[in-house]
Amino acid sequence: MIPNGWRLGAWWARSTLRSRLALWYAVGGTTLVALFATTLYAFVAVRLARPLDHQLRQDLAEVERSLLATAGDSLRWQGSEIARGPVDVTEHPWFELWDERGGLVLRRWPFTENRNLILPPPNRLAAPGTISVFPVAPDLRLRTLTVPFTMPGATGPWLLRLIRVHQPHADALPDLQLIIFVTLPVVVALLVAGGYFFTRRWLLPLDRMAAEAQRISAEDLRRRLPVANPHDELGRLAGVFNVTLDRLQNSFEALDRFVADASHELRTPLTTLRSVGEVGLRRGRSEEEYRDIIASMLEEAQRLQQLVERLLQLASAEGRGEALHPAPVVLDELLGACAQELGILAEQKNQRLVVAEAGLRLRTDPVILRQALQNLIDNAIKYGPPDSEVRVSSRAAPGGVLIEVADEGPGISEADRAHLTGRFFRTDRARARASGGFGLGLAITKAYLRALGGSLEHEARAPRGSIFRLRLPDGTAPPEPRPRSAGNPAEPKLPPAAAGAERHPFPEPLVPRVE
Amino acid sequence: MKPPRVLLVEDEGKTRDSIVEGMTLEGWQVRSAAQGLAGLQLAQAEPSDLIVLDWMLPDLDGLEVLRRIRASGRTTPVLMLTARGTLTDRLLGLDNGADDYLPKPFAFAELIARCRALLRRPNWAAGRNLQCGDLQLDTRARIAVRSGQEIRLTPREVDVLEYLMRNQGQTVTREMLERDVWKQVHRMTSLDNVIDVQMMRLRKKVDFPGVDRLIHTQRGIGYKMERLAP
Repeated sequence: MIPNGWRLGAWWARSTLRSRLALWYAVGGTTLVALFATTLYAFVAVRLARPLDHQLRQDLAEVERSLLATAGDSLRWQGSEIARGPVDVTEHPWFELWDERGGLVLRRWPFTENRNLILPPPNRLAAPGTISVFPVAPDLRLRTLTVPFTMPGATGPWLLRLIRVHQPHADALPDLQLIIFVTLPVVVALLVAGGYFFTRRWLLPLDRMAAEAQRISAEDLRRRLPVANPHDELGRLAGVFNVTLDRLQNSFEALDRFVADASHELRTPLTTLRSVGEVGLRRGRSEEEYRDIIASMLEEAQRLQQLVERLLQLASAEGRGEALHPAPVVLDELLGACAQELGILAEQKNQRLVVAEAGLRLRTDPVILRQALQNLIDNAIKYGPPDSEVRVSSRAAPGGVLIEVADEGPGISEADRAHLTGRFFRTDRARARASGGFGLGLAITKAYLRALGGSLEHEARAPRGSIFRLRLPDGTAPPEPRPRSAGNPAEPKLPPAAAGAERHPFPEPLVPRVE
Repeated sequence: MKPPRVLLVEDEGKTRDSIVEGMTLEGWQVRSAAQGLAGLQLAQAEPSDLIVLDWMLPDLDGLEVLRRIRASGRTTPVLMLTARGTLTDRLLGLDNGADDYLPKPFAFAELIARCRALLRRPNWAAGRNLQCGDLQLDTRARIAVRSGQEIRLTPREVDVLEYLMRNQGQTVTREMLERDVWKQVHRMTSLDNVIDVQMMRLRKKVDFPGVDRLIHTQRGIGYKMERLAP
């Protein structure tokens, strides 16, 4: 047998949001309205009975004044008498006196005994001062106050019950009850029906979104979710989904481009490899010629190998496959080492490779940073004209360091900037191939920097040339920004330029952030 | 000197054949197997001076073959070949008793150079004064002299020249220079151009007009220092 709780749970899990809300309106609405009505009823009842209770207490005082014990254990009433016959409600007090065994000792009220108006004996255990209501006839309800009663000179103790009649014309409680019992179901029914209707109406965009989302697939990422009202929750949800879809579409497109580009780039050396080999075999050749052919094929094979290595570098840097090994780095030393390594290339073109020292230290992965820097310096040398200058400088920046590699090359046109760090991008394909590039350098550099928690920016340089700017966290700073004072030992020898740069981070709008 | 006995376990037929042929040309005695178990049997049947072991094999992977060879008590040097080039793979191989590790694709020249090192017969000119034809290099004073003329070299050029002279007669690849002279643990492709330019300049200084060429470019492979018979 399935336990009921389980079945209810299963129904709850399976039911739609709409049915759950309707159920809430039914159960919650009924409970809340009933609670409200009960409170209201109780309040009104207490409020209406207050003058009557006051009168009952006055009656008690009068009984205490006017009832006397006489010798021989009898009681004598000294107050005014109640006229028998037609009930005059103003003639009071009415009371009953009960002994401990539940026997009536004395009753004083205007009703004749044959009207059969007998109240049950009072509950001995009820608290003193208990007020009760007895409906004794369709048109008559009695309100009573019961207190323990003793009298000097009498046998006692007794229970004294004082009695008053609820005035029918002042008693609105039954009407109130009627109103409540009639309106409660109506209110609940309206709540449920209205709730179901409006929920259905308001959640309709969700259904449409679900239907549309179902149509969106990897092949058709251009579709977007409909935004019915951009200000409500569903609109915001659709908006967020659409932004995510934008990103997804971008990365899918990037992947497509990458696969297309990569296969193109791989095909080029493969084609050369095959055609050189095939043509080489077409006719008999001298040993010298064969050597030449094989060497040419080996060159292409090497090119392929380099390309595959760079692609792997890119993939692992982008996928954060590079495990970081952070270490303290003296930046000037690292920049100097890079410059020394590549200086020979600059010398070959009669360029000056200048490293401006700034005395900065940071904590980062030196190997990855060095690869990123070498890529940038290599590029600067490659694209800089002979007799020009390649300048590498660094400075402290808020939250880290800034390294700049500036060249005097042709610069990068506005149109090209957007593609700058895309894969296989070269401003001039033919020339780049001659100089041995794959156009992967910047993409790899950017991926490396991202792995280090930094970023890469490009700025056009006046009158000509480019500045590539690497931003790196210094790796020592705690997550929250700390005040930088002049005496901070973590920032040794801040040059004045660096301090200025801190106060005025360079204007973002002028610097297209390379994405 | 007896020719070294090398056991090669490699499943790719073309690669296996070309390595066997290349090693035979070096004058080595080569046996080969295409599968792990067969390789293991060969390794245990007859002693070898060196085992070259591919990692990915169809039946028993190279690492397991290596483990079993080591478990049977043989201390023959083992060179692992693999297309899996990450540092973890490399450490895994070395942990399991491999003596060296060469990621694919590799230059044959480098394979031979590594094998020589493991066979403890490096074609490695020892000593302070190196000579190739009429070129002399004093490695301690770092002075190169050719045909009685001192050649003025930068420190890096001396390093490269020394490496070429110690490996004379052998092909030296860019990768070898990058690792052994530039001391790069990670492959840095931006160095390829640097090495080419460096070699070009060194050659200009060493093989100046009027003398025989000693530094030879092997297109698509690397460089070789050799005095060719006139």
